[in-house]
Amino acid sequence: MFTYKSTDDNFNVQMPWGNGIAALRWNHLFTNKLFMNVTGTFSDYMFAFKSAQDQFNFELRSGVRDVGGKVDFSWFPNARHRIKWGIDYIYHTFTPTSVSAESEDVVFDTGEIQRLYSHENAAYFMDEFDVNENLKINAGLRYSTYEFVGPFTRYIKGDISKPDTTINYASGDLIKFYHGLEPRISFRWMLPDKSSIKAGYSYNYQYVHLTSLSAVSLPTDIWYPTTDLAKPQNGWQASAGYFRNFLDDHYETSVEVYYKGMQNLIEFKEGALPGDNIADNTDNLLVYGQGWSYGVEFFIKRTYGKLTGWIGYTWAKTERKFPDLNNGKVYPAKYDRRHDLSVVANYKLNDRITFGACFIFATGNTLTLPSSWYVQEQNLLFNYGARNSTRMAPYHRLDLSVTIYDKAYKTKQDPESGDNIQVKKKFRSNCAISIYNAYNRANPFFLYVDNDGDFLSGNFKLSVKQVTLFPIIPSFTWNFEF
Amino acid sequence: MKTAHSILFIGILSLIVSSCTKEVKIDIPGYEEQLVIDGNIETGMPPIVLISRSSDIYAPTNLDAYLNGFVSGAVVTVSNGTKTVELTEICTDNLPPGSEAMASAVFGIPIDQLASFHICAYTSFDSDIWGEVGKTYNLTVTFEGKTYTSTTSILQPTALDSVYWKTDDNYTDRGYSWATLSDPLNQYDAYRWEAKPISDPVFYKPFQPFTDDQFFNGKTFDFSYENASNCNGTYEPAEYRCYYKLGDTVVIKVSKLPRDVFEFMEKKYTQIYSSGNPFATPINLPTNIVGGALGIWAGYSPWYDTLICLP
Repeated sequence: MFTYKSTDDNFNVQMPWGNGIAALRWNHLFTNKLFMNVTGTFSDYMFAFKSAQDQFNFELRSGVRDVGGKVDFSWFPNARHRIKWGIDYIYHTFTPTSVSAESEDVVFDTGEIQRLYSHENAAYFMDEFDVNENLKINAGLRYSTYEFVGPFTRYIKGDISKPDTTINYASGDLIKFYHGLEPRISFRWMLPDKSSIKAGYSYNYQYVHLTSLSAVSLPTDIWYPTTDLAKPQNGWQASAGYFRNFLDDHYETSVEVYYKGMQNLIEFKEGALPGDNIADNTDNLLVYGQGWSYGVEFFIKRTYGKLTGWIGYTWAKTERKFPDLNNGKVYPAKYDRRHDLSVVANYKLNDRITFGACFIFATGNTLTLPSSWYVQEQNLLFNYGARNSTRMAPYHRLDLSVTIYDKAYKTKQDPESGDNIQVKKKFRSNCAISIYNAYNRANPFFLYVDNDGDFLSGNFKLSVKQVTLFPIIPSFTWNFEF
Repeated sequence: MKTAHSILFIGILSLIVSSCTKEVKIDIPGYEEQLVIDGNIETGMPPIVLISRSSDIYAPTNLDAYLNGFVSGAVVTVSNGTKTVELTEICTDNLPPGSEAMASAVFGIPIDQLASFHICAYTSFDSDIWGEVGKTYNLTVTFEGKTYTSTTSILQPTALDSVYWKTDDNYTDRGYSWATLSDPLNQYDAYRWEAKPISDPVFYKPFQPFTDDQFFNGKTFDFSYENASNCNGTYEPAEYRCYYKLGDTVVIKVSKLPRDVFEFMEKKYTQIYSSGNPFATPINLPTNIVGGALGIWAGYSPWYDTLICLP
């Protein structure tokens, strides 16, 4: 659980979250070339956001409970084919946004918790095929279906001239059915000089959406299912990469490019608030658009010697285009991350002492903040910059560690020869001293605009606040094996 | 071969993950000082234009900043197609007699404090340029070498079919104002609702004063509004707030407005009611001012009725 409290601003936030998972698997061997896996799964994810400012308390809960099962077959008819097929099924129960609010003694009536139910089914077939010793192809086809079912109440918003109207669906009623084919193909082509080329293409439907409740930086992403209004997200992805090893395989390198296009993405409409549950559905607040992401990834890894480690760098761009947001203009996605660098190094001083270091750098998330304020009819109004045009400060951090192992062998006298011999210990331990965020970087977790006071009374104050988590954290760990 | 292993975590020197907050001044792109033009004209009334400047989000927001934000020395003209009039700059410390109540409402400053401030607005005492139904009004503002223009209209008003008062279910002597409206068919209509006790000098806007006919075009229907004049303050017990009481006499003012004015106002109220809420998504207000200014030039055509709160 994350807890944040600002005494100065009478503002505090709690974000408990958790995920319970259970799985049961049965493997069956029909022949030595045909296997079957039967799996039953259960997961229960919960996220909550509790906020209190002055006397006002607000709580939002979001959750997904999945019960499902799948049957997977693996068949190896000969040395060149590895064929898999199967079916899977998930019953989703969503609680997208359950809101409660209170102010001092008054508890606001926010209605009953709304839950959304759906069945997701799929059948697939794929073949990993060695065309020859240099070319391997993996091709597959998946057919998925989605049924949005009752019980459900669809609220159709009215206005001052007429009340809201509703359509009530009983338990199990089919409200909306979607389906689609999802092809995929990828290959690896080995080249003679210890290098290879890999490329792939896939087309997917996704029946569960992830959206952010806010264009400010609060980490309040929620899962929302496909409904009669929210269409399934679909997209395609293509990637290609060149892989090569150098110096007797002591160095592994690669460069990969990718492009991903997405349709039917969802966002909350401009000015939308997570409403109460009275006479409304969350998807009445959504707008729909498209997005794309592309980038290039560089990777180098050293696997030999006292100094090992790897460096990974990704340059990427992720953008969105929604007719109803940002005047229909393209804008960067919340998690658009232009630069992402990871450097990991380990230095083995001797058999007992190893040093480690990890450095991470990432471009800050985007968000939308008001760039100016003005007054109209005595009301203080904000003028926002373009959507997601503000960037949080970059995230960077250095972690250091040293691990000290005890001796792997102990000396013992051989009872027969009387010589001293080395015997592997049954009980071993090591201790690690680590420093997380070694230079105590104050990385931004989220930002908010704090306004305090009454504008016309002259004591109004406006400021941007940054909340930071995890300062420098030294730790000591003792690991032992037996 | 190891048959099992376990990890003993014997100490973290800093187990408590502390968060901290600090005021930051990150770069927020998009700010440029803009003129804010807040003008309106309604039937039988002079045009009133307030001009101010927008401020950087990090600029002070105290009362001085508010007062100093108003602009003096602009050249403001209003034309109705046949006549063009340059508006006169009048200031709170030098108001024409009889205009104090209106100035108080425009500036949001109590009448007895008006003289202690120097805030100026632009208006005209030439009744030839006062609002008339069916006319279109062109606004031109010239300031510091830049010219801003806008156009608005005073539309044909729509009369309410009737107004009446009905007690709330919980009371025998308190209730909301009700009205019957027949919305004209096959045309876009937007409305603003205001009301005031007959003895008050100014009209009050309810929680959501603006609506358009997107969902009731051409229909006849009844609707209600709360008493905005006593929703705030402590002079009524909480349970009686927002109601009219038996025997009240209320002046109702229903104004028609152009679509672009409605779109500005609709988004304005959305922004106001979501301000400070960390979940709110940002929204900008669509101005009808050409030339790079913020604000709105709004024409209203009011229709008045009197409601006596009797069963």
